[in-house]
Amino acid sequence: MSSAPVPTGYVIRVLGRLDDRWRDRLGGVTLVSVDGITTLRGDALDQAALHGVLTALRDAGVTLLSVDPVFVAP
Amino acid sequence: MLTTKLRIPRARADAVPRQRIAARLDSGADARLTLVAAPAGFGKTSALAGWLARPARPRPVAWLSLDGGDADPSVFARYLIAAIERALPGSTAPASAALEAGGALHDIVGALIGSLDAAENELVLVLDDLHLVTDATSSGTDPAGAAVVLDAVELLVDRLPPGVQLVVATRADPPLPLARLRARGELVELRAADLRFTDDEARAFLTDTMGLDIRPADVAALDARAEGWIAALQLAALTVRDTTDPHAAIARFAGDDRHLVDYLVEEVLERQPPEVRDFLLATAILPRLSGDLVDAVTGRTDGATMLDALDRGNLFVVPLDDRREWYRYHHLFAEMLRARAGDGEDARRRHGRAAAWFEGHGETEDALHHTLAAHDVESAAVLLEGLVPQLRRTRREAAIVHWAEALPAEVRRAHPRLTIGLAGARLSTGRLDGVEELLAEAEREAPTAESSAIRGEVALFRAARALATGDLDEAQRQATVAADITAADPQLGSGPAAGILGLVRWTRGDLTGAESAWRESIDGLARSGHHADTLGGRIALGEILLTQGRLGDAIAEYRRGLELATASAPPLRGAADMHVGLADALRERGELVAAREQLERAEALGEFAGLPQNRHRRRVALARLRAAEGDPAGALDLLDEATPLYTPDFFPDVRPIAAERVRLLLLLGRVVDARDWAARTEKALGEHPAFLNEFAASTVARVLLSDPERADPGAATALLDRLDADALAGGREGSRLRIRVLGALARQADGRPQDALEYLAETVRLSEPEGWVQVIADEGAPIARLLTALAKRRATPYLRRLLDAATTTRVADTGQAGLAAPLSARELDVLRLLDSGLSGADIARELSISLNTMRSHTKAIFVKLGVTSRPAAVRRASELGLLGR
Repeated sequence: MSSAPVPTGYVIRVLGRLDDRWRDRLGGVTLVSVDGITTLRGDALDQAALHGVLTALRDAGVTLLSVDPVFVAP
Repeated sequence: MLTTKLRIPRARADAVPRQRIAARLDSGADARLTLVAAPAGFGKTSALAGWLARPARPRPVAWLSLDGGDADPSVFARYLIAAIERALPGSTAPASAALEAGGALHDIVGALIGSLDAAENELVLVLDDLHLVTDATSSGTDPAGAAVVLDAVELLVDRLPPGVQLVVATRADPPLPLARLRARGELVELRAADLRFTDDEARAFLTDTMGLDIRPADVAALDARAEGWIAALQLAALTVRDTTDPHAAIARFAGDDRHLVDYLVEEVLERQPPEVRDFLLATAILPRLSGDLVDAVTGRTDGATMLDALDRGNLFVVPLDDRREWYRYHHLFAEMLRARAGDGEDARRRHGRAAAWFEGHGETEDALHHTLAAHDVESAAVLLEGLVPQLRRTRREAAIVHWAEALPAEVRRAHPRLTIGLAGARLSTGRLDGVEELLAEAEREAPTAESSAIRGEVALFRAARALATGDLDEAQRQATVAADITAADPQLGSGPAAGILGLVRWTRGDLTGAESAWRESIDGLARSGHHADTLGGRIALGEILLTQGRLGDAIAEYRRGLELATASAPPLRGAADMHVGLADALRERGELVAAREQLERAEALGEFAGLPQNRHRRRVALARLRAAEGDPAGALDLLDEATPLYTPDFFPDVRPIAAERVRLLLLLGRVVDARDWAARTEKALGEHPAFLNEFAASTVARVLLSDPERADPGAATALLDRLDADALAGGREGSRLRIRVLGALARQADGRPQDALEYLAETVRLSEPEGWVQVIADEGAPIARLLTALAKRRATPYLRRLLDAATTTRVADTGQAGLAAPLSARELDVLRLLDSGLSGADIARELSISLNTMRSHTKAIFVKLGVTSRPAAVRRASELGLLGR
């Protein structure tokens, strides 16, 4: 049985520019904003941390565009 | 209890009227669920408040603003009951009883549904912010608890009474079967697309509500950027209102690509005078705000004025009461403020001050929350230690475990009572692992002044743990240690330790020792004021007395317990158990009518007036009564109903339901089933069955007598004689009667009629002083023949009574002649429909009568047929030929 690799982290794209304050708030992600779209990258987000970030974004009314896995070789 | 959670939020007088939304919400009256699901700031709560504020509100409203704390089933239950009680006073008594009895949330919600349904109440029930509970399923204090709460919401949806509209507002779709509801047209939804302001609404909001004097083109530009997001429009309006050039301000943020609310909160804050800005950032940590509380946190004195000014200035505060005492920030605004305030040294200091304020106002749980946020683990440990007894009383063991485990181990270790609390909470949630380590730690760390008291508690929990693992020796050892120490403790007293000793001795068959331990336990519990707890001890005592043959003492004990339990209103929990115990003892005396009356009273008190074990105990007692009344089939049904309800406690299971069934199986001719049971059981009994197997062993003997394939009266006699000798040695005169009646029948079957007669004569001499009847009479015709022969020698009144009881066929003759009163034509109509698969409500509809009328008919039918359940009514009616086929 082959098993798909488990992501080590995630890249999340949201609508709107998020300023640096969010980096502290979301813990462990980097933020890059281009043309009104912010890319949050967390190379070491496990499932619980991912859901924590998603909930925080939801609670701030941020519109989610995509969530993609990151595979970083150990 | 925070009544502010139950208040319907006030609709702003100048709010934009939203007919479209109100009409949609109205259409939810016939749906199972009205779901308002949209992101933060879309005006979910405001839409509901506006809808409910209309003058012609057709139904009473129960409102519950949920928070993370409601992920605890007992907290949620308390608030849900309170919300409904507020809307419909007097409608929640059964649910409240269930709550006080520590019932499961599922049962409590079931009771609420039952009450609302029965009273045909109309109600709008709003659960606001359900996402706060949903979130807790992944990250809360008690994820399992949150799941239980969501199950209860699903139960509400599934069994929603016709007159009730359930409205759920949430940021995230709840884990309910939404697709199924949608497909069946049972779901009314308002989502972001429905809630966002239309262009017209946005214009009305900006110009009328917010009082902006701006050009139509600016309105359009603003709304194009906000896309109807109400919170953004409000923030934008605040920004624009305070500027000299609205057009430029609107153009500026219309061209900005930042997250809109983030940007706007920044703008709004910048425009506030420094004292307002500081106030907002300092108080954002508070889940609710009062002038006094915020003064304590800010160190200023203008809290009340400031809150009032924020409210007037539309600055995202929501009043929580009519006196303008308590407010909260709009959730989205508060989150943005907290993000700016950070969680540095300042924030911790403020949490510390908030904690002090809450503690000073007796709100320990809030104090604990802020103390932990202040990273002050030492104070948190002290607070939690003080909170443990209350959390235990309200059965919130999961909260104890969560908080205690949140503290660093070395801090917790310094508070041995907290460690004991954690051990006890783990024990009661069935997590035995690590309990002994915690207890040992508490013992080791106990300060000298308290070491004795702590050793007592530790020993008590060790005894309970040993009992749970079946280690009687250890349980006895620890209970003895505990008894010596706790007797001097006015809070604890000797009651609990003596009770454990009573259990150990009883399980071992030492009835005399068990009796004295239980009496001491009951006295001890009464001395330390735990009157309700004495009732559990009286059940044990009653059972023990019956086994000892002391029927009169048992009846007296139950009567005393009943007096105590019903002296208060509502009756103490355990009152129903006393009725059940008394009924069973009265039945043994042959007082079947009185026994039935007691069981009816137990049932009328409701399932939750009893201890958890009463659910099966009441049904077993009723089954025995049914059998005595000549209805073995009905009795068997009840035992089958009782089997899955069997709730193990630490009481020895001296009369297993499975063994009790066998006598009925034989009476009903189901010999094969009885034979199977005996074959399985015999192996486990061994040569010398111990006290705990006594009843099962005598039942095996019964099968040996009755099974035509195995009929072996010789072996049965030998087994029964052994059991009788053991029972005699153990002082179990009550057991002996049951064994010896069978012994007499075995001798008869063995072709020794003279022996049988002598043996029965001796048995009757044993049973007469305490007036036992059914234990002999239940054997029916075979024993009646022997009794007749005995009565020929000397007919005493007692023998005549036994003979009467053994020969009376209590199943009435056929037809209505056997009934206390004939059924009316309408009752016969109802009765025939009872034999269908229709629900009560369907039957009512079928006959065009109200549900209440239908229920009173049903009640009359039950009384006249002498039954207490629908299946029994149908069975009885068919026996009487009333069903017309």
